[in-house]
Amino acid sequence: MDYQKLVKDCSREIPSAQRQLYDHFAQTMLGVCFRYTKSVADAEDVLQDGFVKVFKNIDQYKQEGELGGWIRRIMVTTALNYLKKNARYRYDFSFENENLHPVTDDNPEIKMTGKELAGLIRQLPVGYQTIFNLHAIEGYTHVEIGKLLGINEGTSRSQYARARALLISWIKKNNEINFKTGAYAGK
Amino acid sequence: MPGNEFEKKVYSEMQELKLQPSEEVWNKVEKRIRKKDRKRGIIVIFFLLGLALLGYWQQDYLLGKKKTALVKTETSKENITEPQEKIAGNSASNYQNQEKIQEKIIADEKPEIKQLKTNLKTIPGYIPVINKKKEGKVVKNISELDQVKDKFQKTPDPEAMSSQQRKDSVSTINSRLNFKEEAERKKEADTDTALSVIKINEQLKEAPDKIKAVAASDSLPDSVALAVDLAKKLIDSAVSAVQRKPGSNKWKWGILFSPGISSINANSFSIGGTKSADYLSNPNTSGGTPNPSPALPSENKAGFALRLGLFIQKRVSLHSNFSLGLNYSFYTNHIRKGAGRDSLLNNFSQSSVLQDASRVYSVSGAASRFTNYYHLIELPVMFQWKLNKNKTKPLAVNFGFSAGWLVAVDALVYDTSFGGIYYKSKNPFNKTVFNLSTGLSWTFLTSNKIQCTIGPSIDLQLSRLLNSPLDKNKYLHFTGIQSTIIFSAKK
Repeated sequence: MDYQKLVKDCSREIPSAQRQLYDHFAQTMLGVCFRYTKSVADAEDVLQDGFVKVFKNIDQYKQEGELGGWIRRIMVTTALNYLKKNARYRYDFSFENENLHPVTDDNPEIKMTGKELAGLIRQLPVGYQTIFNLHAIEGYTHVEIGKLLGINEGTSRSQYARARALLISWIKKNNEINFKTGAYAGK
Repeated sequence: MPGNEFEKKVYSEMQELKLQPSEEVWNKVEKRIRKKDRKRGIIVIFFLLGLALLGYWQQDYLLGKKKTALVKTETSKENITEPQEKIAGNSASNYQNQEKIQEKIIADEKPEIKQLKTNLKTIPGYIPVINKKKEGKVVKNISELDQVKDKFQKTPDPEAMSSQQRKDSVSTINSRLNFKEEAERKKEADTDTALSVIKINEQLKEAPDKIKAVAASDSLPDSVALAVDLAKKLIDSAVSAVQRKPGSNKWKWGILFSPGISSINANSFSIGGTKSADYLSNPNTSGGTPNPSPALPSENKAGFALRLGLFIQKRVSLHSNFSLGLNYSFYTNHIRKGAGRDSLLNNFSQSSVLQDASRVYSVSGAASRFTNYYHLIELPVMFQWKLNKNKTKPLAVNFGFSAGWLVAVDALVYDTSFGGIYYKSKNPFNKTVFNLSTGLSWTFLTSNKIQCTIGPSIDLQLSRLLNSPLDKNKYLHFTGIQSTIIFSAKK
């Protein structure tokens, strides 16, 4: 696909080009939004807001980096704003409560699909979920996360370690259940 | 990307995660991005309307090409009393026009009026009075037809064009093509500059880490360490300046300076002088000495106006700003007055309007010029919409509304009593005024601290200037060049 032409046509507000861009990236971006929210409806709201921003600011895309990466950053920022503004998330979107989940260095085998893993990530508390997504998947450093969320670098680190430990414990538990029920027999 | 094995696994699984959104999402996205186009259309229409009004006003008041309603009425009055010989001196064609128009008017009139006018025609020496407005329109159309005819005759036949004319046309087209090429070259150069800025920004972001590493080494002498520390601070401040979002949502404040002209008009929107017909239809509304034919007031002429103000501005979206302000406005306009008649002040029982008057002048004679002064405090609420995509020198259309208070006034008010007088009083003026504002603003200077804009501005008064039955159709409008300096908000 010729992204350069597509972006140019989108900046000229040609409807067919806008639809083409949406169709090309919508599925991947809904996957991104899905990880930051607690329901598909909320993820679709974020996706909608994100694409409106993409089309309004498409002329700011400098053709330097990857178009998908640029759209992804917009989706992540939109998702964070959504969490801060939405009452259902705002209450949990706090990094003050230091839930004492034990830290671990385990590297368990992940015997589940991407959607199931995303489902587990979404079950984390909102603060843990956000920091885990930003660090483990988007690749932000703890300094960047601190600036993005207005928290200390140390808070980001500790929240991430606890989120990771909690997630690993759930993955282990899931693996045990699957082993007992023979869900992975023959794989 | 995190180096840990667990993170790698999660990362690879999540990169492949794709979910199909419902069709409703695209419908909503499409609806929201199309709404923007409709808004833009409305703004462009509003802007064109403002420009049309501005153009119409300039034609009326600056060039003085058209006569105002007052002058027309006076001309009409003169025509009624003109001797028949003078009218006979008119050209035959004009007379034929008048006859045709009169027939048309009669055809539209009620039977009783038709009968009355037919009877009037039988009276010796009767001169028909023609509806000036309709006549003006037809005569104007005929003159326009002549102009078009002349223009058509003057337009050169392409085949009959001389070789010199052809050369001129070719050179004009070539110069336009060159201009287009030049514009494209400039655009490319701008893009290169933007790319360079991005690279510098990235280097600046990396610089503090490099300097930290240098500063951490123990081998540096004190003076060099001090210099490194200083450089680090400078780069930190530069990085923070680069990272600052260009259009932050904080309130910015600014000052406004707007010189221009102000004039009295008959309507909030249809600009075209005051209607003296109101004075003729109300010869004695103020309760003064009855006078069947009072002298009509002089024509209002536009005068100097100045507006100074402070405002705060906030960015609403990528293309729009919202602002609130506090303005002091000073408006003037000129009239001609006759000799002073202050003796009437001792005789105010004959006219109720003179009870609060401080000075009285005769209307007839019109010997000297008098300047009316109005001082207002206004609270404007403005909305600004960016028309182009230029980041550094944007062009924007402004529109809004303002509420104002007439804090001081030094102006003459007309009254039909005593054969037509002007009197000075504050009471007939409405203290609260409302305006509709529009204009353009072009940002010609943008720096870290200030932003300077300039552009035409027009204010149309929605509320009446005077609360008097004689002067109920007076509205004070303003046209000027508005310049603003916007200061960046402190961090």
